[in-house]
Amino acid sequence: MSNAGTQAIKVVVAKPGLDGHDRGAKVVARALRDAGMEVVYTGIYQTPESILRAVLQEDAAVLGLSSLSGAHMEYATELCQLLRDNGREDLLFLVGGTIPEDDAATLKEAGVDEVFGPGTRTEEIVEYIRTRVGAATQTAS
Amino acid sequence: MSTQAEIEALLAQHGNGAGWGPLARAITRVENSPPWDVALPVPERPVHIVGITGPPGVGKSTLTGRLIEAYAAVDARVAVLAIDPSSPITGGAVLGDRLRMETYLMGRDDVFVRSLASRGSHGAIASATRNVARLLELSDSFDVILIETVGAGQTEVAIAELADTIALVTVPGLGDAVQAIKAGLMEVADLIVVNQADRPGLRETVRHFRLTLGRDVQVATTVATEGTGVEGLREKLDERWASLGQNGGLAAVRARKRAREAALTAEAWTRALADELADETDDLHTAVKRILEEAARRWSA
Amino acid sequence: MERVTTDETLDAERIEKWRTERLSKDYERIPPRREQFTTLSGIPVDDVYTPEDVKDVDPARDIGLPGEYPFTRGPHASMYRGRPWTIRQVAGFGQAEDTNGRYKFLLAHGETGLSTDFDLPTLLGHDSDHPEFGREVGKIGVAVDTVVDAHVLFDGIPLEEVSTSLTINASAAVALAMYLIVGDERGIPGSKLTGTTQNDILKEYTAQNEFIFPPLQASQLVVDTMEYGAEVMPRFNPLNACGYHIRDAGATAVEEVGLTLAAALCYLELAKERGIEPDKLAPRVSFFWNVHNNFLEEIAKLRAARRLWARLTRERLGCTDPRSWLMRAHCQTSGVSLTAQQPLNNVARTAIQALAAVLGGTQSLHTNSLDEAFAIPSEEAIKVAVRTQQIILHETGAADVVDPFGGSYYVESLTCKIEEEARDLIHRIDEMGGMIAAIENGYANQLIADSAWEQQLALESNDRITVGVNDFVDDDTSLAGIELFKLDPGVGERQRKRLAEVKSSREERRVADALRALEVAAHDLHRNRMPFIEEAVRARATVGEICNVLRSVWGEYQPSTVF
Repeated sequence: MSNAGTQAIKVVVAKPGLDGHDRGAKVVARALRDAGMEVVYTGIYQTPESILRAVLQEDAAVLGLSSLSGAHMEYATELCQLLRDNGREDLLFLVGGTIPEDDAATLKEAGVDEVFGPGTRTEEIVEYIRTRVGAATQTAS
Repeated sequence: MSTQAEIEALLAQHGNGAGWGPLARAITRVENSPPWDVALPVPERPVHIVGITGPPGVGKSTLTGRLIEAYAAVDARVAVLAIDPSSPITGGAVLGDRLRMETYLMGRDDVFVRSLASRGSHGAIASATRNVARLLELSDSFDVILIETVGAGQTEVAIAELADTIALVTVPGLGDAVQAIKAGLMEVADLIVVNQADRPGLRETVRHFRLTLGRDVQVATTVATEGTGVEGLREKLDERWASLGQNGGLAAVRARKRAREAALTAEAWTRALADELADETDDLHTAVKRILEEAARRWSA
Repeated sequence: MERVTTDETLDAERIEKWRTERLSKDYERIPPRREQFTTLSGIPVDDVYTPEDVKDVDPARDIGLPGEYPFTRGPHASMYRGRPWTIRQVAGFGQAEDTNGRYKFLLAHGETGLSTDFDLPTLLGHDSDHPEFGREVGKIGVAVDTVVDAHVLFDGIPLEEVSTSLTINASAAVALAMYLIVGDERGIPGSKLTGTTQNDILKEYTAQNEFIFPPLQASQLVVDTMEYGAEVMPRFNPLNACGYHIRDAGATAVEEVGLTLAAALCYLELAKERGIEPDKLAPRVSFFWNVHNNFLEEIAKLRAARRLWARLTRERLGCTDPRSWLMRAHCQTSGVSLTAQQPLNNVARTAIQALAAVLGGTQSLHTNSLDEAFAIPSEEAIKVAVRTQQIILHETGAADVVDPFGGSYYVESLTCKIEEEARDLIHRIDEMGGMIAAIENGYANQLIADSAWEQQLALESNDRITVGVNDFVDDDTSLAGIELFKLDPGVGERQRKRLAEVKSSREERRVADALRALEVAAHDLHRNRMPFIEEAVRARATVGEICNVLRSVWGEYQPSTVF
């Protein structure tokens, strides 16, 4: 019987630092839930350490960082390092918010997998996650 | 590698100081396997498993957060399982409980919190949760395991029932919050916690529970937002654990719970089979006969 | 010349005839573009509006004349025929001198009032040397730790002539005291100072999340500032009740009005419980509205808000001073409506939204810059935003007549509808126990979250078109050569150094005494904390030190967990 031990894609959605604009993060969390994913929404005022802890303890496959306060570079690069130090380079790391193009390129060089700017459709994010995580699950089994 | 072997390997990694990662992955293995396929050994060192239940809006998450602080204050290592309902339509879930506990977790490396979505039937999630708790016991990394359920109703009762101690949280007033407590839950509670105890109606509420459940029922009163009474609650929980440890009390409780768990697991298995055979049903008696015959056939196969 | 006459009356029957004979024939040839037309609040929009639609509107009771109750047509009689709205662009980044430079740039280019954005640590009552939040110093607003920074911020600005809006909430009481003391230490009496502190803490719990303390205590602090302001800065508005953030968080126009007025009522009613008559404070309550995409709805919204507030203050609060009934408002064009895709389009969006604010009768206006979706405005972009307002004022004629949409069948009908629905929302909130209750039980947050979700669905199903995002899409990200603003990374270090200097040269004993006195005052919720905050600010206590005292007594509020 197939459906009794089900699987789901687990996503941590987090907002680092003092930025309180959570409309986007909450909309994305809702959309991911509607797409059948399990979303741990850590809320605002997170530190890189508390975000790392959530990722590790929840065994998340995806981390979505939302930042509209201009401090995305510092937080994201610090997280990339923490993830590497804790053996989670495999994590799909997405950043969303008001990110200029140049910064997006730098973020990807630092280890962020994708940057989603304002106006991104949630279905694009869902598809992206499904494709990337689905592929990872397949290669693992 | 079989699921069993994988889980053992991950527990070993965790035990060797590899941190939360392997433990979390072991939990995922348990989550992703049907509960009847998970056969974990009986832990040598049992850990107090406390179910924190009650209707929504009574401050369970805040109370759980405060309990974490209270346990940490006496150097007890705490693990928390927070169960949120999955959407029956999409299968997804927003696991918001961690968020509600976050302030009490800030800066702590030593508290383990895992959110679980209630995938599947109430029997399936109850046995899965109990298995995850069993895993946490086997890890030898914790002194107390708190299980907090967010939903209300059948699922909550099923999950809570399997804990060693069931704490039913409510608020003063004999209105909605008290009426909403499912009869099943009230009767199995080992301890009543009246939170928001600074609200009017405390005395009548405590009296109501004593009249309904017996004069000796354990009642704790707390104001979780301020932390008042939480130390007392922790003491009551520890006292209960200590008394269970004497005269085979714990063994008796666990035997009873294991029987319940077996029933729930069997129910989950049979339910999944029944769903599979759904299209072929005719009259009720024939349908039931067929399910049980197929069940016997498959299980012995 | 003979006039053509008719025996016809334009009544319901006639209009129905027109619909079946004329309109439906048009639709047979050319089907309507949509099955249903609605405003962004979901209010149905009919094909055309006629006298039938306004037959219950009483011109004297409901429309009136400008400058007279119920102020539908405007708070002042002459409006922009006399004095144009204030061009007030919000600005803030880096250290005080950086923002001071931007102020001077804006004033030189014709802006007529100042507005300050503060950085997140300052907004949330933390200092620039906070061990965790160092990387946020000066990023989205100016870093202000003590009154020394405030002096630098307003260096060379004639505060007795220029009004300033301080965009700050949780720590607004501190900012208010700073503004008073900067004036005072320059020899300008409080009675000459004009401007606002935003200070609408209730909307933080539902929309912007820049709160510190729990709602009740924080609201009492707001009452403190209002009472204090009435005494020592009688021309200053200590409260600027906000709909802007609620709207940008996803709420509809109706929700924007309802939630904002409910919050304003809450503060005045708390003050009443403290024995302060609403007439004492209401004249200095100002408002801050969003101007969003649906042009006509926004005009109607501003008119509806003015009329509803006038009625509420007069009938519900029992105010008898006409200045209490009179709503003065600042508007800002919607930030969330601007796109990262084809950013030059944002100039058009902002211009149209700004025009709606003017036609709706705003007293003060901020126009967003086209690079809003990426960063703090560059000088080039903010200049275009200022010019947009100047073009509206001088080239369009929109400012030459008061309330030109007055009497429009559609706009009057829509004004009534918005007023009615906002009133219903306020009533629902009343039934729950008021705005604080509606926050604590999650109602307000859920309302906004659901509206935000509804809009997302409309966008993703292409039910609503956002040009460049879900239609007319291309790769254009051109900013016409505008270079995005980049903050000097050395700001944090420099600010920490300055803070250390201030701390080393102040009188520690005086600071400690002031903070202790504040702590005592914080325990009695009905006691006004402002004199103690004022003393602490004078002694060069920091924003963080003052807020930490209040934190220790009132605690911190946990963010909403509603989706």
